[in-house]
Amino acid sequence: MQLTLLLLVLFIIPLKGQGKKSKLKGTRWWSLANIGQPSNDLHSNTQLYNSPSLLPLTKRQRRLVSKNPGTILALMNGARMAIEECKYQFRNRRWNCPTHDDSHGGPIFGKILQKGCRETSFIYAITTAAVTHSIARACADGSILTCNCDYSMREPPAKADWDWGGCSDNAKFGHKFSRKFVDVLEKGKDFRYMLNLHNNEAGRVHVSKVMKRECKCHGMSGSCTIKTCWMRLPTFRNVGDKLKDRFDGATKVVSGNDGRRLPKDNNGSVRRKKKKGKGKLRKNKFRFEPVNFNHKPPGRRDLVYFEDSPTFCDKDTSIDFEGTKGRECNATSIGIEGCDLMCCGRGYTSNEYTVKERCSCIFHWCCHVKCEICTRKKIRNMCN
Amino acid sequence: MDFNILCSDKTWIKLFFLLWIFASSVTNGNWMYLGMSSVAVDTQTEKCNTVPGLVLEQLDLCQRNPESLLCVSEGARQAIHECQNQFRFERWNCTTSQNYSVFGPIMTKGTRETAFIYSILSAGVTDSVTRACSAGNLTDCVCDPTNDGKNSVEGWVWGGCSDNVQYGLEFSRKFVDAPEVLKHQDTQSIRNKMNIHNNEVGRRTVRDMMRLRCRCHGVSGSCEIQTCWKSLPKFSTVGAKLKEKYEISVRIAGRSKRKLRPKKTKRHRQARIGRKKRLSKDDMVFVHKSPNFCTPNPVKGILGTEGRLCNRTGSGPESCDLLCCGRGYNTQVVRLTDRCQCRFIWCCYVDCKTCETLFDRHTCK
Repeated sequence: MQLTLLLLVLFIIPLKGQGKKSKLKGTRWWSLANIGQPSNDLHSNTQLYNSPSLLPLTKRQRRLVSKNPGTILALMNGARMAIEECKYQFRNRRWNCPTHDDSHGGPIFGKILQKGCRETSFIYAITTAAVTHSIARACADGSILTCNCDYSMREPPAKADWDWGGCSDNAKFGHKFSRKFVDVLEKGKDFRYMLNLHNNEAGRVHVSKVMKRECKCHGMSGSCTIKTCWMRLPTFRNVGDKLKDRFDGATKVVSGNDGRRLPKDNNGSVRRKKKKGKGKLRKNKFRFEPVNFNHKPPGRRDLVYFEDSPTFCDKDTSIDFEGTKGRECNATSIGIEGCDLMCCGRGYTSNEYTVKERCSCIFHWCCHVKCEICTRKKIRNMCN
Repeated sequence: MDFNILCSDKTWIKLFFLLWIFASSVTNGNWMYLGMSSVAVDTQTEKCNTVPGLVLEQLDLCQRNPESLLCVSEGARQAIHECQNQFRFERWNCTTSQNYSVFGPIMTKGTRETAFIYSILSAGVTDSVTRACSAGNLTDCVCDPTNDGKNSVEGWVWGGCSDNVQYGLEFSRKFVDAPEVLKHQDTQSIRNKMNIHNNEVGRRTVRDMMRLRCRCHGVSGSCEIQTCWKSLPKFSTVGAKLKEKYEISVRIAGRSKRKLRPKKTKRHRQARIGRKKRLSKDDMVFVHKSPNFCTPNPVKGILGTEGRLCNRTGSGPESCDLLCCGRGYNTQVVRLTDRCQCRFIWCCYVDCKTCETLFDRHTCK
């Protein structure tokens, strides 16, 4: 008896350890952002399969990438876009989306991913959105072998004075690919996984459901006798702005306890909805309920989290954050970028520094511009 | 106007004092408690000395003119109301507490907010006393007689009842400034100087916003004769003006004891500017920097902004971005049931439908 117990314990411990380790496995592809230009050979699959740039990917992700040649570049581009956008959106906040350069599968955003706070949700949403965006664009650019421009729209609405034409961004492919690629590792019945899946989906929806029609006129000197239109994705800045707004209004949730996680048959067995191909990943949908029942239940586009954010004032190694010491701040603002809030009441020091700028430029015929160089004094405030 | 009812109709007023406990140390502006809505003042028994917290001069004024205390009460009340109206979107929303300090521990520091409180209360008293003069509720003042019967250059005649703002100013100077003057004699503190200055800012704002109002007479309003009189501005416009002054208020050096001087920052000293800058009598002044009012701090009397209503879009101080100090907001769906599509049906009733609208309400996390 004791022996079996011991064996059981021995068996469980490594399993647990593995579980922890693999918790963030699904996010390792983010480090693609740090890899230099890989050989983007569209045809030799075997070479790509063993390419070092695929190291941070899992087996399934690799298979997906090698099935769709050309996506690796778009993925890298997406990861970079996500990091850049995250840094831009959070440039004025205490947590400013710090990243670490580790090109071999290390956690790019650090240990904050092990938390379940609003910032974590944002990271998941923005990275997924970036992949969707960049894949959909890459399709339209023709740099992915297996997809194309979206030609599904054929009939213009009645009474329209324009025609579908040109090359629409392939949001459908982007959506599908990102679902397969990003969500693939968020499996299991952990609440956290479900949360990540939800936030991933929110990020995707913000890209693929907000397409805009763009048009162009043709005919004699742009006289618009013929007008062709196509669907274009919003700029990624636009997506970032929207997601930042969702971040501000994110909902703190707990899992719903009405037992309606899966629709059940009469005989009690779980009935699995079978859809062709997809649906496999979404079958374990959790119901999220807001912590405060007065609050609005989260919709498809809302970000969700389950843990309050730390103050991000001081250095915190548990989330890999350096604190706001030394951060630049705005002395006159009362917002979060103002020194008062940014420095958490520790005060700030201001330095005066001089900058040399070109000024009073004049255009001379033909063709050069002459400028003077002005020195100006500027003030920089830094948190103590 | 509720003021007139309160000031004139004495029988309407319940004769009671709530328990006055003399709160000794914190209460700089103890008379301000007269403005709390739960307090009405007994004027008939003429027991001014039962109002604790009044200094000698104030008691004297009260005894000579018991009705005036009622006007002070009304003035303070409208000032507090206006303060809350002006600051309804700010992080500090003019919070009052139920004890005698009225505005709580925030009054212990000489911040911008304190400056605003002092000036609006002094303006409120000036306003309500002046109005009481015109309404005939105070025995020792009447309408402003200075211009009576004179003709103006433009051809109209001074007439009607000009609001006697001079009396209001004088009264407010005596009553509102009294405790501060007394304390200043005692401590020589810059803080009392600051309060006196801000009181004056409030009064001057009322005075400077006096407007001329005219009325036509003659056959069917043909304006053969026009009479004009000076009248007080609406108090909400005074509040708005003071809010503007609050935004551009000047920080003064905390060291000088007698004269108020603008505080020079390090940059000013280095650039040697601001040396000739004089303090105007219309500038609101403060000594201490304000806290950010973001997180609750009961010791300092700060409630924090959690749970406050905010505006998701927009960029003003009421926007969720600024009001919530970066903590984000919660969303509630509010169901509003209302009557709508009302029709009049002969004869005689109105038929309405009930409409339900859903809208999102955002509150700070």
